Amino acid sequence: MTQKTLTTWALAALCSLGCGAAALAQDSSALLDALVRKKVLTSQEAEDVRADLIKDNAQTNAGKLQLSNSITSLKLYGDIRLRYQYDDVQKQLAAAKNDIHDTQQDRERIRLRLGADFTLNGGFFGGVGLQTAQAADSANQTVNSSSDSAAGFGNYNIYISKAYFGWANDWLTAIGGKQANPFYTTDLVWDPDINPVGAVEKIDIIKGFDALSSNSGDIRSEGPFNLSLVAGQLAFSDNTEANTSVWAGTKNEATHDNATDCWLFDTQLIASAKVASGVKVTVAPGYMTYTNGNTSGVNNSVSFNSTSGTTTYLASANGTAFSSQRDLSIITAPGDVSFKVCGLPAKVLWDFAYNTAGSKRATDVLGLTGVGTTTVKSANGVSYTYPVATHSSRDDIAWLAGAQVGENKKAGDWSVFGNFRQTGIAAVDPNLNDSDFAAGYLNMQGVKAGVNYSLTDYCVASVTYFDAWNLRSNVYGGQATGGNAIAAANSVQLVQVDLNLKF
Amino acid sequence: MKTLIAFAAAIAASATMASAQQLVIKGSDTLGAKLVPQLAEAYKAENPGVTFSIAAEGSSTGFAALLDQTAHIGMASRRAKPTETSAALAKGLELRPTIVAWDGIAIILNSSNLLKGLTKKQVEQIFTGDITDWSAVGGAPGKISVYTRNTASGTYADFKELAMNKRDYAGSAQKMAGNEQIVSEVAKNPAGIGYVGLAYVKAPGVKVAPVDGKTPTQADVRDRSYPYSRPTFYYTNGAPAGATKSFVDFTLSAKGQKIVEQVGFVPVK
Repeated sequence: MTQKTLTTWALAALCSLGCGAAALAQDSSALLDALVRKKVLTSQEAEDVRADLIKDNAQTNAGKLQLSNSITSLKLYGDIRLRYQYDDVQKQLAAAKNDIHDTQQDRERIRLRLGADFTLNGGFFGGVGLQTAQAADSANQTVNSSSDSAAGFGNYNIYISKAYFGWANDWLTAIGGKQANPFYTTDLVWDPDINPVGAVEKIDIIKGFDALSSNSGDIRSEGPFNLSLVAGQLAFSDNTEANTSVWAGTKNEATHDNATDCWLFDTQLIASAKVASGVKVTVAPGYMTYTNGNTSGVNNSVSFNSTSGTTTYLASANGTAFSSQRDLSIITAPGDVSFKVCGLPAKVLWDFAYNTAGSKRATDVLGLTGVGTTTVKSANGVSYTYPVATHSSRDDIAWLAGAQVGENKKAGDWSVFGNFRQTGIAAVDPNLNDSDFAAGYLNMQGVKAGVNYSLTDYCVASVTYFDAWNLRSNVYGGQATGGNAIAAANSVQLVQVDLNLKF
Repeated sequence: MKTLIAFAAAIAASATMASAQQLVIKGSDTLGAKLVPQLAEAYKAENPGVTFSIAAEGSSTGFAALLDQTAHIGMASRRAKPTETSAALAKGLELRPTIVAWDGIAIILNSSNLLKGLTKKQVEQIFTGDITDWSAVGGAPGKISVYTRNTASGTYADFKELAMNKRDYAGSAQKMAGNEQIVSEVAKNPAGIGYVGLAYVKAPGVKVAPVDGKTPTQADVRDRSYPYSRPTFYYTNGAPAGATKSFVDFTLSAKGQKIVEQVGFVPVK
C-alpha cells in the first residue's frame, strides 16, 4: 500500500467520523493507534500519515496560528451592531425660559465589540474585550457625530472594556479585573453594558460542601437544586488619598480621608430549582452598598455624593463633613420562572430593589428637603413656583415585572419580550441603571417591549420600544432637577431598530 | 543571473557532501547519549569514509537544527510540534519522521526506597506537586525530591502528555540536562524520584517503580500496555537520501536494531 493511498484511506476514515479538516491532525492519534493495534498499519505507516495530517493542518489558516503553550483553549468573538435610534425626552420645566424642554433626536449608531477568552493550565483563565465608545453604559458610537470629531467620515476610538483573569475549580471561581457583570440581575439595577472592575468570588455552595466533605475530590453532577454565592468587591472610584482639592480645609493628615476610595460591595445568593418537568425557578436575593469615598468623574457624581453634609461619616480635621456619603444600601431580589410555551422557551421575570437608606438619601444626598421653593419657566416665559420636593416612600423602591417568549439561536428564530417597571429616585444608583429606559432618568415608570428575529444563525434584527413617564410628578429641587438632574424628565419615548451580527 | 547563482550553489553543495561525507546529527539526549553513538560506530566500521558529528542536547535542538539546516538528522523522543512543522513549511522544508526504536519512560526511585509501586494518578500528583511527601503514597515520611528533564527535552514534553494530563511540573522540580544526570541524582538521594528512558534504568543506586503494576518490559512497551510507551524518531528534511538514507536504513536493519536492543530500547521490528 503506497503512502498516498494510506493517507487517503486514513483521511477518509477520519472524515467519516465527522472530523473537521483543522481537527484532523489533533484527533487522529487514537484512530491511528487503533489501526496499528489491529495491524492495519505499521507504526511507521501510521507515523507517515500523522506527519502528513500535521503538515496539511499546518497549511490551513488555523494551523498557522501560534499560541502560547500554556493556553489550553482560546475563543475569539465579537459583534457589530447597526442601530437607528429615535428618542423624545420631555423634561420638567427649567429655570430659564429658553431651556429646551423637549428634546427629539434621531441617531445612526454603530457598536463594535471584540473579545478573547482563554483558559490556561492549572485552572486559570482570562479575557480581554475591546469596544467602541468610552461610556461605561454604552458601547454605541454615533456615526459621524460632530461631538467627538467623527463627522466627515472620521474614525472612531476603541476602548478596553474587559481585562481580567481568574482561577476556578469545580466549586470556587475567583476573578480580578474588569469583567462581565457577574451578578444575576436585570437592567433595573445594572445596565447590561456595564463591565464592573474589581474582585469577584463565586462559590457553588452545594458542590463546595461535597468537595470539602469528601477526600476523593469527586464532584457530584448538577442536581435539581443549585445554590451559589457571588460576592463582588468593586472599585467604583479610586482617589489619590492626599487630594486636597476634594476638601478645602486645612491640609493635614485628616484631609487624606477626604479622598478615600469608593468601593461597591455587592453580594448575592443565587438559588435555582427544577420544580417540575421543564420548569425552573431562580431567585437571587442580594445586598449592595458603597463605602463613603469621594467620587468624581462619573456621570452622576454630583447627585451620587452627599451635598448637605449633615451626617459625618469621615470627619475632616475641623469637624466639617464632606461630600462622600451616598446612602445606597440596597436589598435586591431578582428572579425568574422559566418554562416552555408551545415548545418555545419562555420565562416570567422580576426584579426588586429597596434602598433601606432611601429617606436619608432623598434628604441628605438628593436634597429633597421640602424646604423652600423652586421657580421654573415654560418655553414662553411663564413662571411657575413649586416647593422643593420631599421624600416619599415610593422613592426608595424600584421594581420590574416582565415576560419573554422564544429565543434567537438559529435562522428563523424569534422572540418577544415586555416588561413594566417603576424606579424611585432614591432606589438605585443613577450611575448603574439602564441608560436606555427613560434615558437613564430616575423617578420614572413605564414599559419596555421588543421583538427579535434571526435572519441567519448569526444575524438578528430587533426593534425595541421604550415609553416612560413620571413616577411622581413635579419633583423639583435638589438633585432631581439641579446638579446632574437625575429626575429631570417628565416623559421619555425611545425606539431602537437594530441589526446585530455576531462572529 | 539567478540561474548562475543556483548553479554555483549546487556545485558548492555537492562538493561539500562529496568531500566531507559527514553526517551531522543533533537532538534528543535519550537517543543521542548512548544509542546513536553506538550505531554510528558500527556504521563507520562498514563505511569508513563517513564521519559523524553528534550533539545530544534535547529533541527541541534537533528540530531547530533541521530548521536551520545545520543537521542532516534530528533525533527526537517526541513528535514534531505543529509550530515546528509550520516553521519548516515556511522555509520550504518538510519534517519527515522515521521511527527507529520504542522506548518506555521508566519511573525511577532510589534503591533504598521501600515503595513497591505507584499508580498513574500518584505519578501525576507527585510530578505536579499535588503530593509532596512520600507518606501520601505509602512510603516512609519525608519530602519528595522530584527530578525532571529540562524544557528542551522531548522526554520532558512526552512525560507531561503521557503521565501528567498535560499539567505543569511542580515548581520545586529540579530540571536536569540529561537522563544520566537524573539517574545520578536519584541514586544519591533516598527521597528522589525521576524518569528516564529504558536505556538508563540499569544503573546502580536506582530501581524502577512499577506503574499500575506494569514495568517497562520489552513486551509491554511494544504492545503499549505500559502507560508511558513512546516511539523515538529520526527526523529528516523530506524522505532521507544519500548518506542520510544509508544511515537510517542501517539503523532499521537487523544489525542496527540489535544495537537498539542491546542499548536497552525496544526494536521497531
